Amino acid sequence: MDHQGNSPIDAEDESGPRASLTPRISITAVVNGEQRSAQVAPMRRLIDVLRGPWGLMGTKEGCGEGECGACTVLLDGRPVNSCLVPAVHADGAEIRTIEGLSHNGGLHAVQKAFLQHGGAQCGICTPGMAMTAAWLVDKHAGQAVPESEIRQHLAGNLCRCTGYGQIVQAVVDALSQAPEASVAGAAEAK
Amino acid sequence: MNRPSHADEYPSALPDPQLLRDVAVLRPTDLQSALQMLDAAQRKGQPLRPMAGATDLLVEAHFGKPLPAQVLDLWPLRKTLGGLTWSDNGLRIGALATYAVALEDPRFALELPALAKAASLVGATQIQARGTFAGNVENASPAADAAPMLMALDAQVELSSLRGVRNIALQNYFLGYRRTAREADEIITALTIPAESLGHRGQWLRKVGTRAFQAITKVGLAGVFSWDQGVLQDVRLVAVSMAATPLRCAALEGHLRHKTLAEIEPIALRAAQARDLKPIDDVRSTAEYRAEVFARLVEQALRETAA
Repeated sequence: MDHQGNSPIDAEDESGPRASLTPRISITAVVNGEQRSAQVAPMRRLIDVLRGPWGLMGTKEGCGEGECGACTVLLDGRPVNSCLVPAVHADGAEIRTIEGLSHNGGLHAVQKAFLQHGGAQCGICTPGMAMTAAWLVDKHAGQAVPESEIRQHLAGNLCRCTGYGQIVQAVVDALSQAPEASVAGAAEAK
Repeated sequence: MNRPSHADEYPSALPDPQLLRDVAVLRPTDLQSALQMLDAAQRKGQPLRPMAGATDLLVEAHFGKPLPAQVLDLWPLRKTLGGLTWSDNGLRIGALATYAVALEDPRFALELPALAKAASLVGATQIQARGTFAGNVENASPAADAAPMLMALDAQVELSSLRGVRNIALQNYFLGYRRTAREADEIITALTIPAESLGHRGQWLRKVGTRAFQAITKVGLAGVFSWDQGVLQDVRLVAVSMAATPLRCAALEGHLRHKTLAEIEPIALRAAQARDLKPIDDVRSTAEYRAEVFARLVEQALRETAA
């Protein structure tokens, strides 16, 4: 399976009966700074395209219904649940996943802070948590953000290990150091 | 490389890829082509479901609800219908305006604090980036977050089709459980809030759920209270999760109108409320809890807006 180019999302599409299937469409998106394409059924979920043809397994699926935020990626600069984005809406979009959060081998301020504060236990929520946190930090670089606002913005990312204390502290810390660290992130997102 | 089938890759609780694979999507480039697609589908007798941010549709898919055979993707129209427009007539919320876009407009929270609160209580950050006010209205859930406050603010629904444009008051838009007055060849192009509601000091909203965010309303109240010298001159009350649709409470409003705070009696208030609302027991709460908490929300709103 070709993970870089125009690959079918469902291998079984090739051999199975095609008559009843909706025609697949070609989508092209800039994913972590690289142009990617795929042939997909238009209503397939973005998370399936990311983890399938594009081979980006860092984005996790938790609930599949937009509750847990484990599948959070940035779509045109905003955090979204990739389990609730149809593939057709990824066409022409700019997408950033956990794989694209570090820059030139350097970790994003949020990644460093998560490491320093031990902001992870089992780790399943971490990629989504990091993407929302990175969006928040990049958006408010160098500004003081009240802890209540941080918690509100992270409310769409659930951690069943209840590690919120360290995660929130990591974001507070990342915000305080943000300016130079986030410039790399912001530049990459452009 | 041999690729396993999706059935092998994912546990069975996740949506059957076959279902999502069978949905056709029509992609209009502008409003006119969208309306032509709806018109053509109606003539052929083929249902065509409008889709904005897809946050309701893909959740339905997750829970195995039958999916529409074809969807009209309105997302490409957000360049023209995706914004908020302020004028002397009030606020026009384009059909593709998301909660996130509204919350980033500094005027929004100043003029419409309770609607901004409603927007910030929809799911959480990720859903707010994709969900739209118009989608919330068309989804017609009795537990909707934005629609009840829009109704309390006297919002109108602008419907467009090849036949023309018509406006209908949101309070008359819900015909029954998950049924709206939209005809098959129409789409919502905007929601409009009259100028009289902008900056109104008596806007009030409270949502009672299991937690602060990512919760579905057990019972809620959206209201606009117009006090003058201690007398409640006018009031619009919308009950959430208390009926088959978000519902204006005509009997309760009539009972409260022209009274002072001191003249409002708890028992009489509950009796008037019972003429409007017959809540039910369901997975999220009980009728008894809903009725008592709703009455207390009304009392809280009266106290706070009178102050």
